[in-house]
Amino acid sequence: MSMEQVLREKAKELLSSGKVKVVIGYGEGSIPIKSTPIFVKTPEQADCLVLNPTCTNNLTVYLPQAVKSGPVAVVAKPCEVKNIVELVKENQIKREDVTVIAVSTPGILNDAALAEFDLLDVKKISWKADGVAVTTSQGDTVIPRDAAFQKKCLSCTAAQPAIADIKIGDWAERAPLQDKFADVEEYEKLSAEEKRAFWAGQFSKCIRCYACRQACPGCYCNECFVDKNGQIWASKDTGAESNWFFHMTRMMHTAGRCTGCGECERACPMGIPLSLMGKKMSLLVKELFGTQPGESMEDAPVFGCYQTNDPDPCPE
Amino acid sequence: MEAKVIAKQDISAWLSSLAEKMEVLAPVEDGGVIRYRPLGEGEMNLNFSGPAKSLRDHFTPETETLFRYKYEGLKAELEESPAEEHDRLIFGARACDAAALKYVDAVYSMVEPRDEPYFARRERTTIVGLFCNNPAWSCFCTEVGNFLTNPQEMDAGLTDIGDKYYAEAYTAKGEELLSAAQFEPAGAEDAAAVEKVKQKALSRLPAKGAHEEACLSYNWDSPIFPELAEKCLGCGVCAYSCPTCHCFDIQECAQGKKGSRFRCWDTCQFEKFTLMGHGHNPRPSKKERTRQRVFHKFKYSIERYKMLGCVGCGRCISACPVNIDIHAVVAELEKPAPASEGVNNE
Amino acid sequence: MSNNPYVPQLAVIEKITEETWDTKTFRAVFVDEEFRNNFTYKPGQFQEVSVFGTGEATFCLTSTATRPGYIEFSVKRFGCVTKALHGLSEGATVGVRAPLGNCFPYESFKGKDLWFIGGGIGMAPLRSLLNFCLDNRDDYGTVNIIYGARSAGDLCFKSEFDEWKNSPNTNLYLTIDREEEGWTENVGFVPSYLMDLKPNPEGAIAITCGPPIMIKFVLKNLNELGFTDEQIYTTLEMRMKCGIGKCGRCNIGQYYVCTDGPVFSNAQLKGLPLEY
Repeated sequence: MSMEQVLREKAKELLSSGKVKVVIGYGEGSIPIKSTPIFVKTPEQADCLVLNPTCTNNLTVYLPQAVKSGPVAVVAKPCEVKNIVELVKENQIKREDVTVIAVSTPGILNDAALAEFDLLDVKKISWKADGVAVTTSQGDTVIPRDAAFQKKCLSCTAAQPAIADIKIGDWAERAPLQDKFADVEEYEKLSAEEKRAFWAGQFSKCIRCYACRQACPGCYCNECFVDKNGQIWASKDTGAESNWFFHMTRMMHTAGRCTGCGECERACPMGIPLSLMGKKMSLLVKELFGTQPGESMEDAPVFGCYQTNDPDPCPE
Repeated sequence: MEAKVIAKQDISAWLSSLAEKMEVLAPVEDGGVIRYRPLGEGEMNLNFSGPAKSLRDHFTPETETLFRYKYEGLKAELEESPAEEHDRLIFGARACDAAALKYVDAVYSMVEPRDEPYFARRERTTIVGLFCNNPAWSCFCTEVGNFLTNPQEMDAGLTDIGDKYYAEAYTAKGEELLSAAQFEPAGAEDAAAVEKVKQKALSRLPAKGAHEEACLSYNWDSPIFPELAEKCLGCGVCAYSCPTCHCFDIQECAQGKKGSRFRCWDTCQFEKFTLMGHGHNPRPSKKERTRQRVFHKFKYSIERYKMLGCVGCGRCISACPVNIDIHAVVAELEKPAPASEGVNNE
Repeated sequence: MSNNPYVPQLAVIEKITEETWDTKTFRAVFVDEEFRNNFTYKPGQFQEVSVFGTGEATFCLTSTATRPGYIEFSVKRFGCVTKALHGLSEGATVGVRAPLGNCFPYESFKGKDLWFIGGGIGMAPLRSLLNFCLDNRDDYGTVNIIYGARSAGDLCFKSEFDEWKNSPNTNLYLTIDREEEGWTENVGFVPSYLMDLKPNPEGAIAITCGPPIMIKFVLKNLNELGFTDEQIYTTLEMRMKCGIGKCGRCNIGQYYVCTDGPVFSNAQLKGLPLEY
């Protein structure tokens, strides 16, 4: 059985047994190059679930709201399982309210890989042993892995998930094709002035649509600091100072909690490399605290708990 | 004025000569998206399907200072921001984006007083369009208008026919532009090439549809809105990339005894958009907010302005992180539905 | 001044009346003499008042142009701008953009018996029309005012009650929610007091404004008493910013409350999508 078929069977079981009220997964998008989040509520609807290289959304963003109506099952890729771990540790969802369907896929398609195709002529996108097959009226073209997959997939080791109620796919650990922090290390080579100029240029494009925030499973606050208007913490204008403040603050708020899912960058309509910031923070947290989010249910949230031996580097 | 042609290699020279008299904005690629930047800032890219942003920010900037104030004791003094004084040309505008300006003009002028800062920029901006050879997968302009064959709000429009552009003027400003040295009269084979290009572009677009009448009976209680509400992230990308969206917020920036008032973009998709001071929110969930977006574009706009509030640019579809497709929503709403209970029938 | 419609006129606070523990009425005078002399407005219209440095908020014009030279607005303190306004003293400068919105169709009310039904601060927009009608007394029939609040201390415009009571052919019916020592008028909610008073709908117009729950029951009771939807008017409240039909915030269906309203008849309300 293909992963997709296994998923559908499991979803049917979960729904008909009443164990969950809804299975959050992927369905066919409006066009074969896209899939879309779907909320399956009956066993019959489970046949709408798909699993293919276009399944890019981080569905855990729906969890805090979804569990309010009852137990939920969610399809989560390895990076996304980490989000669930953090949501449980941060008391946003109860462990017993979520059935984690952990799916290990070969990788998720990088939109830029389709640049040379006539997108209206793509009929199907599927995994092949050595990459992704794009089927058009001309037949199949296979894009090799390192060109087909998103950066985060190329550095994925498919390590055993910290939590999983159902596991689908090949969970054999694999060697990453790229180092997770390769782009951060490139960035680190810039001087302080070059880094400042780089981000100033990027933030000048920001239109404050807050897509990055809305797409992030870590940004679940009922009232974001930028929306508070009783006391104005952050101005809503798109000037340089205001944009820096918004992004830097959001990075501080997600530090130690960002799993590198890349949804922020994917959602950004202006092409700002937001996941570079998130990964830079992740690397800092790893260096300072020795932990990464979502890898263990036992680790306390790094900024949620104070340990007396927490590093406190003070410039001399 | 008869049609002209300009060789592709002459475009830069032509634009540079125009840049001596006014600011020229042209499409450049930056981080995988297309933006309009002043000529010279980045390499011009004319082979794109859709720019990331519409022309909106050139007429209503994302942030615009309205006035500055300062207090001396109990007395205050205001200093208005100067009106737009410089001329601009936007080169390479898409037909859908230009056509959208007609709608925004109506919104900003239907009720007196009209939005002066917006019109000051409108009146000083010349628009040279670039018709699509290769519409994006999400484009559906043919369903809501026929801007490729009947362009709106452009002063001149260019079509890529290989090694040259075919050019037509639609206004006096446009005629003046096309009388530049780089332009030559077009020949019959050029016109034939344009026809071929247009037909190819149209073949990639959905068949014409007239939504005006169908939309007036949309079902307020359609089950599609609770469905959309489940997956919509409330991220605002659809509105911020939309050429007909015109909503804004007005905020204050205080620095002690002085400061400024500015306006900035806002969207009905944000939760706090309609939140009142005492806590009541007429659109408390994404169900109401997604419904507002669709009804506003396809129903209320027809009722109020006698034109659709959507130009089919498809950005909301391609930019939506969860693949909500407004034109599929509209097709669903146009199916016959049971009698609506949406109006207040108490 | 320019033609940028978002830039306010300057006005100086001339007088502040403490109506209740959380409500003040401000009387302001425009700084620019020419503007002040030419300024006029109709009952039901509103204004955007700025406290520079805090922001701008919507208030009805509670005064009437039949008493020229100043404008008034009543402010209940519950948010940023209202709190900032409450912190102002006489002589302070504010910004005002006015007049905005539509007005009560007072021409069509001529010769009719008027029933003003207000609750709490909802009396503020009604007061503009009320004083306008009392200043044009001969144009209107009997004027009846039903005004209620949670307690005696929550009633606004107390300094004008005598003027209203003593106006010819005018009745003032006050009510508070619960018994209070020293209170000799009616006790009960406004909608039930309305039913007790049994207004005659023939040749009458009812105008109401107050908390949403009060309006809901008042509208229902008026229909029950025989008032048609065309005989009932109210003024809607929505979050507003530009006040001139541009920023898109206050739309209900195809209408903008700031330009097509805030005054609506009940007949018009019933044709609106249920989103206010």
